[in-house]
Order: sequence, then C-alpha cells, then structure tokens
Amino acid sequence: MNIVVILRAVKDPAGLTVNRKAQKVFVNREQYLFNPSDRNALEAGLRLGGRVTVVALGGAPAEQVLRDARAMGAAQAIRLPDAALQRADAGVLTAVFSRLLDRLGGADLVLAGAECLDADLAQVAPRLAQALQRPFIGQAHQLSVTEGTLSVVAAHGRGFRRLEADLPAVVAVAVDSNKPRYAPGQNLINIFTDPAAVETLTAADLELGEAELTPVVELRGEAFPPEREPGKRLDGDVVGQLVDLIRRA
Amino acid sequence: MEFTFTPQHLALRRMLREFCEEELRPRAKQLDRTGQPDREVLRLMGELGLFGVPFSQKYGGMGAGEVGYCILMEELNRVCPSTATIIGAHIGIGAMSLYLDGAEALKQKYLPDICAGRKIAAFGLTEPNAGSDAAGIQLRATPEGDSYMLDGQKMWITNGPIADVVMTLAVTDPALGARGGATVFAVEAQWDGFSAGKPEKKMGLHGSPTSLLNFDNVRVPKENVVGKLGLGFVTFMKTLDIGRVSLGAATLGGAQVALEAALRWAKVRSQFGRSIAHMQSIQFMLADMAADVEALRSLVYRTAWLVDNGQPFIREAGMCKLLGSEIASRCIDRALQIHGALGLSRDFHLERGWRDARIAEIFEGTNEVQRIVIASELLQEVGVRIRP
Repeated sequence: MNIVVILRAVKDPAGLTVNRKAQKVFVNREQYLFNPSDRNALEAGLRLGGRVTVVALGGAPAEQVLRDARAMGAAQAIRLPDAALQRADAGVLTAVFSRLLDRLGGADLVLAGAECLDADLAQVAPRLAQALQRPFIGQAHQLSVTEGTLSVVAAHGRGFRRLEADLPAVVAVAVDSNKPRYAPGQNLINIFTDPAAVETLTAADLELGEAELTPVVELRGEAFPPEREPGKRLDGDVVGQLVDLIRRA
Repeated sequence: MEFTFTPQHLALRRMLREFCEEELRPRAKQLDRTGQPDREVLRLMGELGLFGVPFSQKYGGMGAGEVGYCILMEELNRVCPSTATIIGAHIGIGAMSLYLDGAEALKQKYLPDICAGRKIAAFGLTEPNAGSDAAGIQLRATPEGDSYMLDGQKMWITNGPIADVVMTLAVTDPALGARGGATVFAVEAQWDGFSAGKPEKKMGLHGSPTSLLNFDNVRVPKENVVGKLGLGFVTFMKTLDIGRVSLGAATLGGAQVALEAALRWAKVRSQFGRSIAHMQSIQFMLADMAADVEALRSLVYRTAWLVDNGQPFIREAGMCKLLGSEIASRCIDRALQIHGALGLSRDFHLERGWRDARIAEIFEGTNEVQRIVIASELLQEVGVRIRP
C-alpha cells in the first residue's frame, strides 16, 4: 500500500505574542513546528504499514519537518521549495498535489492533518479528494484497511461514527487522535546527515502552468475578530427568562 | 571559528526535549519519592538509542559523538537528574571504559546490548578504603587457570543494584599496585559470588540506585579483561577524564532549568504592587545566573568539540566538572531564593533539584581532586610535576 502524507511546518505559537490592543501579532522568536495534526496523520500512516511518502511545501522549516518524518519512518520525502508557490491558496495546492500524486504513480491513501495551526482553512484535503474523484473522510481518529476497504472512526458531533470507503481515498486525521512516535536517535543522526534524504521538485518539474499557479485568494489585510460581549448571568426563574429572551431575539 | 550545532545535533535535541518533557517530567517526582527506577521509561529510552549515544553505530550506538552525548545529559538533567545519573554511570564511565580500551571481541560481546539498554553498565572504582585516593584499591584478582578470581568490595557504585555488567578495577599485582598492577574486568552481575548491597539512602538522586558490591571469589574469564593487564588504572583515569565533560553537561541542564524557573516566577510573582522582575535585587540574581549558565554552556560544548576532534581536553574536562557543579548548585540556590518559601516545597521541583545537585561537587572526582587535575596540567606546562 502506498500512502502519501501531506505535511506542513507552522510558526510555533510559543514564539508569538498576541496584542489585541495594538491589533498586532508580535514574532518574538521565529521558530517552526511540525504541524501537530500532521504528525498524527503521519503516525496513522506509519501504523497502517506500507510505504509512506511525505511531501511539504517551503524552505528550511519544511526541510526539517520532512527529515523528522523520515527519521520517524517515512520511506521517501519530497519538498517543493518553489517561490512560485509561496502565495499558493487551497486551489493552487490542490493542483500541485494532484499533479505530484500523478508523478508518484498515484497513492492508495492520501493523509493530511485535519487542522493547521496557522489559518486553519482545512480545505486542501477535501478539495484534493474532489479533484481526484475519491472519497473523503475528515476528523479521523482510527484507521484500518482490510482488503482494499478503508475503515475509519471519525468524530461526528459529540460522538464518533464508523465510516467505510473504498481505496484510493483521502483522509484528514484529527489532532491528538494518536500518540506520534519519537524518532529513534540513530535515524535522526543518519537522516540529518544524508544530503539525499529529501528530494526537491519545482513547479516546472510538475509541469504546472501559469493558470494553475495563480491563486484566486488575495490577502488584503489582517484583523482581529471582534471581541465577544461578556455573557449575562440569569438568576431565579432561569427557564422562563430564557424563553422570554429567545422569543424577543 | 564556527561555533554552531549541526542539524543532526539540533534534531537530536528537539527529540530529547520533547521526550523529557512528555515522558520523564511526569515521572520525576515519583522517582524521587519511591527511589525505584522506572523500568518502562528506561525501556523506551533504550528503543530510542539513548543508552549508546556517543558510541559508534558499528556497536549499535547512535554515533552522535561527545557533543550528542552532552546534549543528552543536559536535557535529561534538566528534567530528571536521577535518570541522567543512571545514564551517566552507564554510558559515561561504565561502558566508556570498555569502549575506549576494550578488545574488539569484548566490545562485540557487550556493547550492542549496552547500547540497546538490554544490559545496564556500572563503573566499579571506589572502595571502603579508596575514594579520592583511587590508587589505594584492595579488591584482589588472582589468576586461576583461564580465569581470575575476584575478591573484595566496591562502594558507592551508581547503578550497583540494577547493573548487569560492572567494569571493575582490581589489583592483579600487589607489588606494583595502581602503577602497572591494576586491571579492569567486565564482571556480569549474574555470576556466582557477585552481589549488590541495599540501595543507599542518599540526600538526593533518590531515583538513581547506589550500593556497595560484594565480590566473593567471582570467577571472571580472561577474555573479560578490559584493555591491557596491569594498565587498568590508566583506563579508568582516561574514562573519568572524558566523563567529566558530560557530567559538566548534566550540571548545565540543572543550572539552565533553575534559570528558566526563576525567570518565569520573577515575571508572575507580584510584591509591593508590581512583578518582582522589576526589582534590581532579583534582576542581579537573574543576570548572574544567566552569565554563569552561558559561560558553562560555552565551556562544555567547546570541550565536547575538543573530544570529538581528537584534541587534548583533560584540563578543560576538569573545568567542566568543577565549574559546572558549583554553578549548578549556585544557580539552583538562587532560583530557590527568588521563589521564597515556595522553593522549599516538596511539591515543587526546586527542592528536589537543590538536593540532586549537591553530589556533582563530590562524585567522579571531588572538586578538590578537579583542582589538583587542573593545577597539575597547568604546572606541567611550566615544568613542575605534581605527584598526588
């Protein structure tokens, strides 16, 4: 079974200070993390067995995440360092990853983290499934594969449900759904010494054209969400007052 | 001059930081209270290769060198000095003597198990009548056929109760004594006549068991001689020289965590209407601690670099141990002072850190011995030979 896991390096929130008064996020220390749910996705992939390939976009932080993933047990790592992809939106990423999957000869299962510590749009995995015409399951907590059928326990409302899908499929793995393994020290030393541990590909290698690389989303500015008004405490006949409030709302 | 860590070492530190915070920190208090080593966490550490960090991958080691080993000791001691001490005795002195001078066959016999954590090593030097005067050992090794019979006692042996193989210094020629008449043997704990005493009740490092060892005519095959017959004292002194670097790294972890705790507390603790971080008395303590930690960090990793690059390091290694142990004790004491009464609480880590730090001024050569080592190195350069 060939499994591809999409990984991201995200800014470590421990290095940031959020100042609502100044309407700014200050970067005290620029340091990067392996996006937490992506690590859960990698762990889920490694537990399924089979050959795991990890892919990520970006520069040095992505390189580090990919090398960590290889030390954890991924067989192959591909980094897309292309400057043309720096402003990529979910649409561009979908095009990039579907082309990359073609180039890799397809995958039985594509995994990604269900949440991202940065913008958390959570669009790439479902859109990729749509583009590839494959089933998509989100918020996966447990995965197993028997005879080409994927069985997933996924969060649903306040509980869980069991879903089945035919492979190939795309699954977004929930954060904290498993305990990612530590990379054995010997692997870390060897992988971080090996210059060929991570392959790189450019947009040109993937034969992506101008149109596919042009994002439709444009960042015009950033602002804090409006502050929430503090709630009001009800005393006495709570139910009566509530009904009254809802009626008037 | 390039003074940076390699990507390999940075990756190792990231993994270790996470491992120590996630797995070790929740157990550290319990280890201190019960005095029982946590076999589960030791097994996990073995799987990650943490029992063989500086050793070549040829023997199943991690191949991370002395720098990698110092990173391990700093990170372990930052969170759990007891566990750091188990590893320090196992790698830094126990297995190191075999690694430095052992015959190839003997290394192949023990190092793979040692590196995987399947066998725990210890270093048997100190005796009831031989501490700082290590040359005064009395444990006898008498040849008998193709073996030696070991008879005597070792004392204050770290890992004594849990060790599977003890590198033991014994007298093979009483006429020559330490100078040509002492030999190191790799002794397995399962052999007849070997027994470990009850764990000592110590002020600190409760989770790191220490005991005396009895050798009651233990038969040791000749192939278990570590290094050359008669030259065991040299092997052990060489081992202690290199062990002082990683011991310095361990003390660095203790000093570092004290500084971090002091900074956090100075920020949140408010007195006289503002955070105590605004008081110069606190600022001066913080600044002194930070300067100490930075100086020690530079010294430790430069010395580890000297080791990895085959340069002379004995004087610097003595300084690592001497300065490190004193800086750690001082920093932890200052952090405790900044925390006020909270610092003394047994529910808070500084009280444990304070007790755990003290031994570093004593074991692996007292600080007085370190000063002699450093002075004799210094004086040798001007033509003065110091005899202990």
